Amino acid sequence: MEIVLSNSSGVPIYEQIASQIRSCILSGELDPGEALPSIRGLAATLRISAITTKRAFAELEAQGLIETVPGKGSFVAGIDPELLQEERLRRVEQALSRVLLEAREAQLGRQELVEMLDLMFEEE
Amino acid sequence: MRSLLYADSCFALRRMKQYLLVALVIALVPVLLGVSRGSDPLDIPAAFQMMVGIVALYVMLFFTLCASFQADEMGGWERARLTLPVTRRDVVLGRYLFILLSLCSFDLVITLLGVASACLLPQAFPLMRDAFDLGGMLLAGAGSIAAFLALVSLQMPFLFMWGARRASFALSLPALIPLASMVIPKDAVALVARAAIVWVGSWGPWPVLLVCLLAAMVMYGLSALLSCVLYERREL
Amino acid sequence: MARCMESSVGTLDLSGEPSDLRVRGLAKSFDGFALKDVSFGVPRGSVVGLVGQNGAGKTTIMRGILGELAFDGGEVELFGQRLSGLDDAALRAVKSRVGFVSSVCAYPGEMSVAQVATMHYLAYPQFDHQLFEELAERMGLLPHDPRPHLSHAARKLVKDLSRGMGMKLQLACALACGASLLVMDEPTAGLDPIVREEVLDIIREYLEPGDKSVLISSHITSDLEHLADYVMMVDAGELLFSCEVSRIEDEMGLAQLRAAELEQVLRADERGFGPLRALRRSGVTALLVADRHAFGRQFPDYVCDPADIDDVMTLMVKGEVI
Repeated sequence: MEIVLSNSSGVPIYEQIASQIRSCILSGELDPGEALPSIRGLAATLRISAITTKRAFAELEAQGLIETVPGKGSFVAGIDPELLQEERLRRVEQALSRVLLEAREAQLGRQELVEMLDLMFEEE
Repeated sequence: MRSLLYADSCFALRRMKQYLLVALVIALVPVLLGVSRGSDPLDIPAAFQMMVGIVALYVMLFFTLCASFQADEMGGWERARLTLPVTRRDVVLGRYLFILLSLCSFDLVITLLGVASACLLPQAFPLMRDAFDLGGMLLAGAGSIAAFLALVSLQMPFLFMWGARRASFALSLPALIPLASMVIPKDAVALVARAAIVWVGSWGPWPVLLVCLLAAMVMYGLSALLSCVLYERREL
Repeated sequence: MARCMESSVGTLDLSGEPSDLRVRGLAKSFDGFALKDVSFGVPRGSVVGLVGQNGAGKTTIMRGILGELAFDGGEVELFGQRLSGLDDAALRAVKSRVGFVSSVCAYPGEMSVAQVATMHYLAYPQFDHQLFEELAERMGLLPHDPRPHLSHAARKLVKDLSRGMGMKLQLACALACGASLLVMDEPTAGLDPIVREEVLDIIREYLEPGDKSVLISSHITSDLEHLADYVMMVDAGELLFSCEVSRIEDEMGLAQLRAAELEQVLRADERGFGPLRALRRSGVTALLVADRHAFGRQFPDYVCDPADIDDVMTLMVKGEVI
């Protein structure tokens, strides 16, 4: 798990960390039960305050993605496959809304868009 | 306090190494000169010359110890040492203890040197046998400790109250000793010396010495207490 | 969020957390300078950064905490114990848990590196000589030798050490003496970025167990941004503000506004983005905003960048509330 932070993106650091870890979990890069680095360890690696990593972990825990065992650390929670699918669908929806935005700007109609999609499916 | 004693001793040893050769020359030359002329132990001028050498050695020790105070103030050590787990009292008492220990060990070395010369030199200079006697040497040794302690007790409170820079007048006191020996007429000294010898003769040298030593120790102790109080209130 | 913008003292309330260091109402007068009513705490396991201009009082505060200097008023509490009420033995015990690193190496100039280590060994009951050697070797103070204490480098005198080496010696001693609290007064001043990063890494390692704390003052605010959990600013003897570093990085913003834009902002009905501090510079106003996301939503076309500690410092000292 390699986390890269951007100072200039304007996105809060704890959010960047949380979303990158979330991606890793959802993509399967991190297996359920796998141990995450300690809050301070991660803070030291990323060269930031431990309060930020703590907040990121807290958020992930609130989303049910990780579990923290006092004294032992944080582990990837067993992901409910329904939840996983829901998350994936949400991402597809997000991507689609971006596509629609771009399409509107390029003045593409629904038909042309569907044709494009069909073409891409065939190529795969 | 051990750490402060250690720090002081590191400094003093380094300084003394620099002075040692010079000190040895100063100490031995007058002794040899006095001896080669076949001196009578009661011949004050010759004995005096020997004394000057020894006194010069003590002055060297003194300057080394005073240099400790000056070195404290360079680079901010006098402030930084308080970040160690020591109290201001430890700093004062540590310095007093260090000076006492240095003095005693220095004295021991000088006495041993004297004993060594007494053993070695009489073979070269037969007349020396009378000039050196162990009792006399020990007396002189203990007496100089007393004198030194008395002198230092007077100076230290100033140094702790104002620091070496502002109290530099206090540091120049020992310079008066060799100066005095040159300025004060030798006859006057001879007079005082003979009177002292008579007095000592009537009591016996050792009781007198004991009283002097005790007095000096009391003075030293009181000086330490005063310095503690003064240093507690000092703004570094 | 507004808490961070107040100019009252002790704005960050950490009184509920166990603190290794707590000071209340510190006051000290010199001629030309006075420390007034400084109160703050360093929670266990955290790093508190102290920023401020030269002469603002940072060093005075630190010297007082370590007992080098007596405060005219106020109370210092180390590890839950008030320093003023301690007897000598207890005072020594408390001080033996605090390590100090300064930008200037103040050890006696004629002592060697090995002698300085020995002096610390005699002073601190928990001094770990092995750890000292490890750290010294790692930082380049001693060579990687089977017996480094006998090496030429170990005999080097303090007065011959470069500034960086002098600081590293202090750091090695402070960490090897088993301190639970590290107080550092501009430790990275005058050092190149590579050495600074080395030092910060070592401090991060020191913090990993979670039971050690650090109070560090620095001009190099980027160092603090990458290390500190909280930042406090001192100016002219007073504590101006204190807040979490992440709050500054993640929430605060610096907007650059033209005169007309500023008008718009000031006229806004709802100021969901918190109170403002402004600094006018030849027609353009720099505005410190407590919540840049809210600001961005309300005024998406105006320039508003993430703020950093320098921005907050500048605007707190030179800016005005509008």
